[in-house]
Amino acid sequence: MVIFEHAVVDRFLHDKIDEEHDIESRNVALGFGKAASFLMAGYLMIQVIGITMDDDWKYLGTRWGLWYLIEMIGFVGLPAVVYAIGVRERNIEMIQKASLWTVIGIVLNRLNISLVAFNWQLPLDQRYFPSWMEIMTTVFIITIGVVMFKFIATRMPILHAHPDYPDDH
Amino acid sequence: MEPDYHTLQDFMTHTKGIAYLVMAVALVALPLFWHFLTGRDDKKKTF
Repeated sequence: MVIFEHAVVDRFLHDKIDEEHDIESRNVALGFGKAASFLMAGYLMIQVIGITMDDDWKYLGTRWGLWYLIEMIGFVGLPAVVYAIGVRERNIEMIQKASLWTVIGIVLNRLNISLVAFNWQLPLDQRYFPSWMEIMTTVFIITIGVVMFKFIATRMPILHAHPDYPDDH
Repeated sequence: MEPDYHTLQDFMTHTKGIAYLVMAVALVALPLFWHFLTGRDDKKKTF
């Protein structure tokens, strides 16, 4: 998320970033990309052990199982490999793309748990789906977050040193 | 084919056995992945 956030900042608030912050953020992206890659590989292993302990292998061939595999391979395994290649090649753009991929994967995982696979055994008309007010509340909270971040990042010395206090940042 | 479990002991013995094999694979695979991940890092002198 930090890598993705910086990719967005780099695109839309590039004029606020000074050279020192730019260099530091590249090192942060490389370090976090390495950590994310290894942690996601570890998460994948934990999931495999979880399947093993419950002996759930037989479910992987079902439709729900295939959906689970899409989440695990498509949104955990593959981004982990792309992160690893990006870190090896020192390719920040590749790491940033992998971070967007991972964020989409996290959103997909939360939606799978709270909506898609929640009470999966019930008929569709008895399943939970958020009302328009809940959806608008979510949109409101995300919008407030983005507006607050932009307000702070454009008015305070977050992405650059304050000209009056260059050594205190 | 699905193994035939008669007791919880049977089930646990089977799943634990497979889990130990998976852990052995993980113990080999994760260091190899780490090696791939850090293979091109600058070597830091520790002496």
